[in-house]
Amino acid sequence: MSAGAALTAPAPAGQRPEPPRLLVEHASFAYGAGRRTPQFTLEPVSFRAKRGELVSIVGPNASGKTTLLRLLSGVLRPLAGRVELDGVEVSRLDGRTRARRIAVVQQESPLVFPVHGIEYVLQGRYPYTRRLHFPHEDDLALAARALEQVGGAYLADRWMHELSGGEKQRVVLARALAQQPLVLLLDEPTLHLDIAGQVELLRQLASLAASGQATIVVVTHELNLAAEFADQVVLLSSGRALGAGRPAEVLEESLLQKVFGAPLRVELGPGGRPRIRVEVRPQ
Amino acid sequence: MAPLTLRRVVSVTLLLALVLVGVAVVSLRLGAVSISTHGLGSCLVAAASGRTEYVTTDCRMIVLGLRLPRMLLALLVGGALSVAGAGFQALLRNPLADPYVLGVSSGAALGAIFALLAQPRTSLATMGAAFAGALLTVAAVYFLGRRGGQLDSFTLLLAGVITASFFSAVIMFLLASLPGRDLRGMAFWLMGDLSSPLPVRLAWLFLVTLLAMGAVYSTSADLNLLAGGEQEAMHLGVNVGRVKVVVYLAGSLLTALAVSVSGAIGYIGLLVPHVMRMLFGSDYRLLIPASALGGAIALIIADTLARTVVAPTELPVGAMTAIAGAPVFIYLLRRRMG
Repeated sequence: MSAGAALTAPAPAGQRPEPPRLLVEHASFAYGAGRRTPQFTLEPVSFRAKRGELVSIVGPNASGKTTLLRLLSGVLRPLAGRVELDGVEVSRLDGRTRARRIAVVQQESPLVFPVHGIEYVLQGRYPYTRRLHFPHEDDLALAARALEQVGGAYLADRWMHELSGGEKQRVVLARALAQQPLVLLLDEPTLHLDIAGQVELLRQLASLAASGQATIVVVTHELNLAAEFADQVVLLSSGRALGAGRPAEVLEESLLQKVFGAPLRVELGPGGRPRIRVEVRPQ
Repeated sequence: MAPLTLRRVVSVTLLLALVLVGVAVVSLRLGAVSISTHGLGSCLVAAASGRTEYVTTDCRMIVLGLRLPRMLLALLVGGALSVAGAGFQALLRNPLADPYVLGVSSGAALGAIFALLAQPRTSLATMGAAFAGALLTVAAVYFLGRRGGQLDSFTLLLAGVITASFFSAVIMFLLASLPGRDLRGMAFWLMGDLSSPLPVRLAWLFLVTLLAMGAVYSTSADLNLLAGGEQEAMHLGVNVGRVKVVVYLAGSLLTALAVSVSGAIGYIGLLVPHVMRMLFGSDYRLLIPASALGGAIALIIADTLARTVVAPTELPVGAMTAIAGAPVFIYLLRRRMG
């Protein structure tokens, strides 16, 4: 069922076709792996993403979504299997190199000291600058452009702690863009957004991916947003990958009902994308 | 507000250096015997050019003998404690962190007292023991202040306050039960005092302090990101482990140096970085030099007040800093909780 199951042995160097941007091959992980009973195990997951694709990781709570994202970001090294970016294992990259290729938007982490929007975005230039990291003019221009790209130019001089959830999320996204990453990873970015904000964010991500700027992997609880915007969906349940592929292939009614334990109906909307709704009948 | 530039760092640093010179001049003039600015100028010029035999008695005894060394010590200790405070605040992601509140100063004081009880007594041994005490205390508070694997702001402060009070009790016990042997009084170790410093060469002290401050400064761009969370800093390419070790060692060393020459002076490391943040923003590339100079200014003022407000009696300088610092601490704590 996993998408990488049919992988052939790699061709000899030289004749080898361009490696996929993101290759996840039987990558597994266990917290507390040394103990007799590990606290949580992510069983082998495989999928691959091309340049400019939007991949969505979905699944119930504690299904291993964030663990998979941390494997992709390189802060965790897989227990077995591989996670590669352009043919290079991500956990072997040094911190600065990794930060130039992979940007991560985490679930909210509170700020201790006040900063302005533009200062926050400039932090994304850190892996490109040296010594005390005073920004170059190019860095300033890039940061301003990143803010503009997320529709947040007006947030440059505002304090981060005074922004609304949606505005803050834009600045955080702009910082990730300022890293000029090849791969952009987001962990439940829609968590504190209202429905308009959620749609807006996913639309932005889809257009970012479509413009070829970055391959995007987004962990989300919003099945319909994943179905609507993602090129691929990876479905996790209790540490196992139950499917990886096009939304219509993975988001299948009986599978979703089993995984989420909820009365879900799946219909195909126009364009062949699945639509999920909750069906509650009076008892 | 435009992002921080090197030009701004330099101009703010120069401005604060000017204020420091002004405060130093006033401090040298004030006291039981007041010295005119002109008299002070000629005294310092004569001393700097090595012609001390021609200066007045006031100059030789009061300015060069008493006030100048004490003022320089205040400058050094104030700067060291403030930079240590600013560093710990980023390291522990807590704007209320400070060597005194966290118990690090008391830990260093306890280490110094142990070294003074042992033989032979050297100032290097005293400082080394104070450094060890500071290192152990930061480590202890760091691990006690965690809840569910995460640093918890209030658990951390509580752990620090309790550690400080425990060490203070041990210090009192030692000072009360062991023969005096010139360990200096409780006021010195528990409150801090600049009137009876350890006999060490100031130049040597300056050098080590500047090196430790430089080490903290070299991580200032990393500290900006570390304040936003360790995971996030890692994702942005910061070598989090290295930065934490550098700041932990340098901050503990600065605290130990300050404590072994002046006892546990409180609240400077909390108050000064906070005021500097309000004035100049929270970017560590500016905050570190601003705190170093601001801390020097603040402690010189505090010590000048300590030896003049109830003259001829002198207060321990720690009493002055606590009178100013404790209310600010309460205010900041309430605002964070609200």
